[in-house]
Amino acid sequence: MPDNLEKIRLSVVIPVYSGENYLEALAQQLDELRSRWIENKAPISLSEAIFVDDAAIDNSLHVLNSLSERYPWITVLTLSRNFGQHPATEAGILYTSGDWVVTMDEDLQHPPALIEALLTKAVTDGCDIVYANPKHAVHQNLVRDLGSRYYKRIIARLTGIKTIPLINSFRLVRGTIARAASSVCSHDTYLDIALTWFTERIGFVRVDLKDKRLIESGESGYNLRKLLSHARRMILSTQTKALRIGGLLGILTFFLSLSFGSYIFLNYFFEWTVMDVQGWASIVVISSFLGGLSLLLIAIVIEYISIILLHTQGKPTFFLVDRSGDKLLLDYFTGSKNADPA
Amino acid sequence: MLILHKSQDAEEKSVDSIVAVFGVGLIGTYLVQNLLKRQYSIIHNLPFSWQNSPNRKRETADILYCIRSLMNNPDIGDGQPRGGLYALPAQAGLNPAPTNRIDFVWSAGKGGFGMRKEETSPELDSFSEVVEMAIATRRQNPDCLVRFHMLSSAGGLFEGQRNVNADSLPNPRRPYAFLKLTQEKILDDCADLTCLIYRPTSVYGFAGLNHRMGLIPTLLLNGSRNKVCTIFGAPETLRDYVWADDVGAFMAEMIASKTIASGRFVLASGKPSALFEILNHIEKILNKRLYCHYIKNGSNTEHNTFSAGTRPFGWKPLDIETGIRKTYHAML
Repeated sequence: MPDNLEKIRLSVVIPVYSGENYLEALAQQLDELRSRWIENKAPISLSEAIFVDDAAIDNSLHVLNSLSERYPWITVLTLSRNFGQHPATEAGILYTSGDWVVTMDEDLQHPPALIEALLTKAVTDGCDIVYANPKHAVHQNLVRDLGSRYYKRIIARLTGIKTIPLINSFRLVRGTIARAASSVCSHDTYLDIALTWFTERIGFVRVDLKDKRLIESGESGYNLRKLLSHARRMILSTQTKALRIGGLLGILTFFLSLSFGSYIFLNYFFEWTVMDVQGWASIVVISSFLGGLSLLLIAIVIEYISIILLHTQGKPTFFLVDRSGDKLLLDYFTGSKNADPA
Repeated sequence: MLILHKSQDAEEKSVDSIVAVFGVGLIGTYLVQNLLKRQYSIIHNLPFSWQNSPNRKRETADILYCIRSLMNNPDIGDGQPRGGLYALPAQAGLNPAPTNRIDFVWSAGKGGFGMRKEETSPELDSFSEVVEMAIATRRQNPDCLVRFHMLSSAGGLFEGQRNVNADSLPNPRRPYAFLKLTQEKILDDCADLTCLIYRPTSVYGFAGLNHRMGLIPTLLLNGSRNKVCTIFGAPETLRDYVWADDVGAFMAEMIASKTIASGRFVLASGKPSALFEILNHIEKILNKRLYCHYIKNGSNTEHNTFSAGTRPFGWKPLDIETGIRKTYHAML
């Protein structure tokens, strides 16, 4: 690349909760990637790694502070309390200034060497987001793996967002989109859903991922309560479709009541079926009509609520993106000697 | 310009401090407010012409006279300036001065970021005269600590650079930045003075409608009036924003300190903020949509960010959302 051209910058964001045993090796692997890009005179540089201490329960903060002294490109942010993985990731993203942002876990479940594979996919297919999608079961725990897979499929069906089964915390996002989505996220917004408000160009790369911590020690940063909370936030972030299903039911009931009422009314004159109970027809027609009308009105209110909800959640009217820098990366990564086989 | 004075600091024995503030714009206003909080009081409010050189000679004499009077008799704060119609005390030390600390503060800047090259000369001339004033004061009062505080500009010196850290070198691109770098070099050559140079990033705050407003107060004002905001930049443009009161408080802290070491301080938040994020905060605060019109022009859309590692000890910048809220409340 020409010397006078500024390099494309990559920022890495890592929320930290209980990773003291992994952070040293993680920083080392990031440094190797960084050094390799410098040696290869790559058009991209790993300009910063932002570790977000989410009120870590172990000695992680101490380890991070010593790492930031050793590696000047490491920044440590300390959250005032434990906010959870997504808010910590969003906080980290809002501190980045890279053209691309990679988010990954603290426990080496996501090897930094795979970042190049994500980048290659992004610039080859013109994606704004690339998720690492595990080839095999990540946790090697039948209940956990199957649960995760089917849960994501159900949510995808409910919300209409087909990319939900691809979602993974190891993701590469175009910097401008990552920061815009993070800035509109409130405490109950799911980051990956907010990302879909800004782009539909979402890709995935099938890679080997293993939750080493869970496999080796049986410990995970997640428990059932946290996973359920995760699920709740995902549904809440995309509830407009769920609300619309309710509204649709209302409209359907209204028209059913109209047609049923018409039938009862006509039956009164033509006597297709004989009804012995006096007043039955009028009661049924009135109650089904009023019930249907109420549901229809509720459906209209729900539609308004959906609009307000998306507005308050920060869904943008439009957003601009500049993908002009991708060609430099494409030229670099498609030159096979530069790309890491991982 | 303002001359402030504080006597008998409770923490130090018999310390008398005079502060001469040249330029009471956005940061200057916040600096003075912070000095007042530290029990400084404004003794003189004197004119200092930026353009008219003959006037400035007389005004400089007035300023020096007032400082001198204050040094000799701090209890009275003697002497209203007489338009330069007096002779300055010829011999220092005739009346032993109780004042043992004088701080000259250059927080002025008429042209701003977009100033033209020809506008830099008058500003450089007036800056040089203030530096000479400080040197003269120092020579006349060898026992007195004379410090010079200068507001430079990280945004100007490091324009277009990302992740600016301690190793980053200034790379000025516009006349304003060249002016700031020249001013810094003038101070570097002043061996007699303790020079403290502050390099704030993009400063925001509100010091009144008669001062330059800047991006954030303009967005707040136009947003609340349902007016269209013209923004020279793009929604994704990254900047490092610092609140003017934080800068003022840090400078006041340095003025109140006993430091005798010269230094440079990059006053950055260390958190890049996209314009999109700022707009979101403002819309949330105003509970209104903002009408924006973007003009992408040259370097206006280039990112400029600073790493948290550049932050000096004791500098604790406010987060952007709280800062915007405080600015809004100041405007109400």
